[in-house]
Amino acid sequence: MTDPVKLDLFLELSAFITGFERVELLGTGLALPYLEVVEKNIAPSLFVETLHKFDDARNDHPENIGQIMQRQFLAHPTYGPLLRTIIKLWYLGQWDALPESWQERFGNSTPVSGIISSSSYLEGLVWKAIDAHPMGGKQPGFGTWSSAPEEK
Amino acid sequence: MKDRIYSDHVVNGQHYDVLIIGGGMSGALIANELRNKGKKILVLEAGLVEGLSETSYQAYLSRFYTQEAKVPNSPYPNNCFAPQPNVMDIEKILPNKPDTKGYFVQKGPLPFSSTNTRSLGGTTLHWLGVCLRMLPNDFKMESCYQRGVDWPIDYWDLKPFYEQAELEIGVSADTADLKYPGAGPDFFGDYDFPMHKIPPNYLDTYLAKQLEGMRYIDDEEEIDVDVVSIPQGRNSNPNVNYIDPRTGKPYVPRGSVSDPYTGQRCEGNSNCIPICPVQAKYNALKTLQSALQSKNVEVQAQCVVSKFEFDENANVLAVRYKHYVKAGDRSGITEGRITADTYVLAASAIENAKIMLASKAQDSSGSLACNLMDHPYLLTWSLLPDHIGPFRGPFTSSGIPSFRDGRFRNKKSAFRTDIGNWGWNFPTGAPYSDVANMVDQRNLFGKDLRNKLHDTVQRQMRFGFLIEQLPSKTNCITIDPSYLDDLGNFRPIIQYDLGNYEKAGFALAKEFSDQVYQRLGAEQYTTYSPSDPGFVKYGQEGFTFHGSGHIVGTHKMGNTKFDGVVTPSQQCFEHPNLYLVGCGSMPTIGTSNPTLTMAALALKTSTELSNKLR
Ligand SMILES: Cc1cc2nc3c(=O)[nH]c(=O)nc-3n(C[C@H](O)[C@H](O)[C@H](O)COP(=O)(O)OP(=O)(O)OC[C@H]3O[C@@H](n4cnc5c(N)ncnc54)[C@H](O)[C@@H]3O)c2cc1C
Ligand code: SF4
Repeated sequence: MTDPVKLDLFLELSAFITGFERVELLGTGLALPYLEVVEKNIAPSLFVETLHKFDDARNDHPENIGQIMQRQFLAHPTYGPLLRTIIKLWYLGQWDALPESWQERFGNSTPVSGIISSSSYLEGLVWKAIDAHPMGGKQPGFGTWSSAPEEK
Repeated sequence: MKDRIYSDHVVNGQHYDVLIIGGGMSGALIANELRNKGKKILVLEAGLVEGLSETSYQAYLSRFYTQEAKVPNSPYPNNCFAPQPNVMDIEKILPNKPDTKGYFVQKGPLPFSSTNTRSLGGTTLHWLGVCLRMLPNDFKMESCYQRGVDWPIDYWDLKPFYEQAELEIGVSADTADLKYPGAGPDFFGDYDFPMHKIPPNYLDTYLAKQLEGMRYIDDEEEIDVDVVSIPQGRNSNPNVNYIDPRTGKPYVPRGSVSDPYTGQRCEGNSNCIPICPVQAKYNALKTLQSALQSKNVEVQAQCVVSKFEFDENANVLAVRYKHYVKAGDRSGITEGRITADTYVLAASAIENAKIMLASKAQDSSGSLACNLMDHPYLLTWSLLPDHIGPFRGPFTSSGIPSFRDGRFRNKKSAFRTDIGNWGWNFPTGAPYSDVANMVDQRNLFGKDLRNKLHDTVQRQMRFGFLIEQLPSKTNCITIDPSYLDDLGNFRPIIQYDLGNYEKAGFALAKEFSDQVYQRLGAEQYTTYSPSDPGFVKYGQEGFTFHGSGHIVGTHKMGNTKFDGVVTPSQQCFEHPNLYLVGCGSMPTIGTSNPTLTMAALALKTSTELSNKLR
């Protein structure tokens, strides 16, 4: 069974780095499958460490968490590649293999890569971000393309 | 219907009245037109029978969803016994070293990057569905512009067959909107299409407003720049005034083959290439399904034709092929031979030529397997100052036909301009590449990433220019026993190049595009790199072209056997009981996507065959 604390932190972290609300992430129905994908690809200890570091940072310095994320996580040689891959996982439904040297040191022995499933493609956040629908799915209906895009 | 579609090998040794090789659009149209003539018809298909049932069509779709490279053939599995080209295999061709990575052996000097699909339904499974008629001057390039050749028929000979083809495909357009150079008021006459036009994309309306009154000044002439909607083989609202001549009743759009109530309208899935999930877009499975309503029509799949046998009068005596049980399983291969009174070769332009070469067919014209043409496709792309809502609706809904004809054609290619609706998807792989770029290179995350992605992609626009290619004897297909596929059939060897005429067309298109982007205040991002497989130099400039999928010209029609392989009815001059049908019969390509013309020609052939078979 999945550890609820881990799932919760994974969602919090994902929401922060993707720019989507937690409820939007849950709405994809892919939080658990993605958590599994991450766990298949990276060493359990590193994953837990990343989640807790993020949790501490946002609790200790809520006002500065953006800059901390940039400097201490995304610019970090170990956490950075992992977090960027998680962003792309949510946006594209796809796990991009990490560089070999990284994988050798921090990877798990059962890596998976590529598009996870049909629904991971269809639920890619990129489509929501650009105000479109996944190409080949979730058809918006006849003639919908004629209207001006909605301004936010 | 199902009991007349065979995957197991059941037709060996049989005799048919008409044997059609290839279950794509050309073959399907002929089978369908002849279905009620009381004659036994067999369609022999190299690929698998997929797509007719809901489950197998859904399998195509699921395959597409999970493929990282969403290229035209991505939903349709490669089959080593009926291999098909893939754009992923296109590489730069090195001098004196044929590129053998893909199915085609590419001798160059330039790569031929267009593809076809070898599965029941053929290339229409992944075609786009643009259905344009050729213009009157396209049929007389030599007399009008001293370039290329004249056809033995003209626009007016084909006009009734165009109308018939537009009905069978189900084309959506409003003639009142359609303005083409050199077309004249009788181009459509009082005709109208079965369905109204596909609603324009927001970008079309935006551009029409911004470009209103724009004129392009070329050396010799001034060209009015018009944004015009494109007739399309995808379902829209039916035209209530259109009475379907087949039923005497108002026209009803034809939906998916597994469920007629799905796909009666284009639902904006934005995926016409490579697969329309609801089959609002025409594919040849629809025509095959109609043909199979008749007990006279049978389909035998998994049979790859290798060659014809000829008798002493040069008539075809029999066709030779191999049947396989499962792709890759050599133990299941059996050889077969079928005879017929009339043979129709409809395997698409390159395969048709290859089978004729393998059969050592006669050809006094010297044009068999020559004159291979495509529309070299030039892209330009920019960021607009405004959000225009890309990635919604069909690949393209309007274009700029202003350069489809004009006096400049004696010096440089005419072209047709597509307005793309899917942002930079074609030139850069957007929006996937934008995500990768913003995350990995621009170090964005969180709300900034989301907002930047929105703002950038919303402003993406691109043009595609379909450049007219002239026929040339040296753009040709050959065969060589050292290049065989897994079934032992010849792989097509392609020699392909572009001349200065086409390159001057690129320069004209690029210059026009620059002027449009300047007028729009758009930031141009177009780049062409010498490392691109389709990079060509023209003077100081360089351009990169892609394939359009328009494989044309390998068995051109002519007036006599000395200037063509087939008659205007696509009957082979030198093998009279054989018809070669498809885009291969077209002597020139013009600027219209070729399939509507191909369909009109197939219907012309059907009329002749119907009369003969009576
Ligand atoms: C990406 C793309 C987009 C396109 N968009 C457009 C468009 O918008 N408008 C337009 O006009 N055209 C378009 N085209 C071109 C169009 O798809 C083709 O012109 C058309 O499908 C050709 O029809 P066909 O029946 O001659 O050949 P195909 O559709 O290729 O069918 C040939 C059939 O023969 C079978 N076959 C092949 N070899 C053998 C053999 N040896 N034995 C037995 N059977 C064999 C194949 O499996 C196939 O079923 C596009 C093409 C591509 C690639
Ligand atoms: S836009 Fe969508 S529904 Fe319409 S034809 Fe294309 S894929 Fe089919």
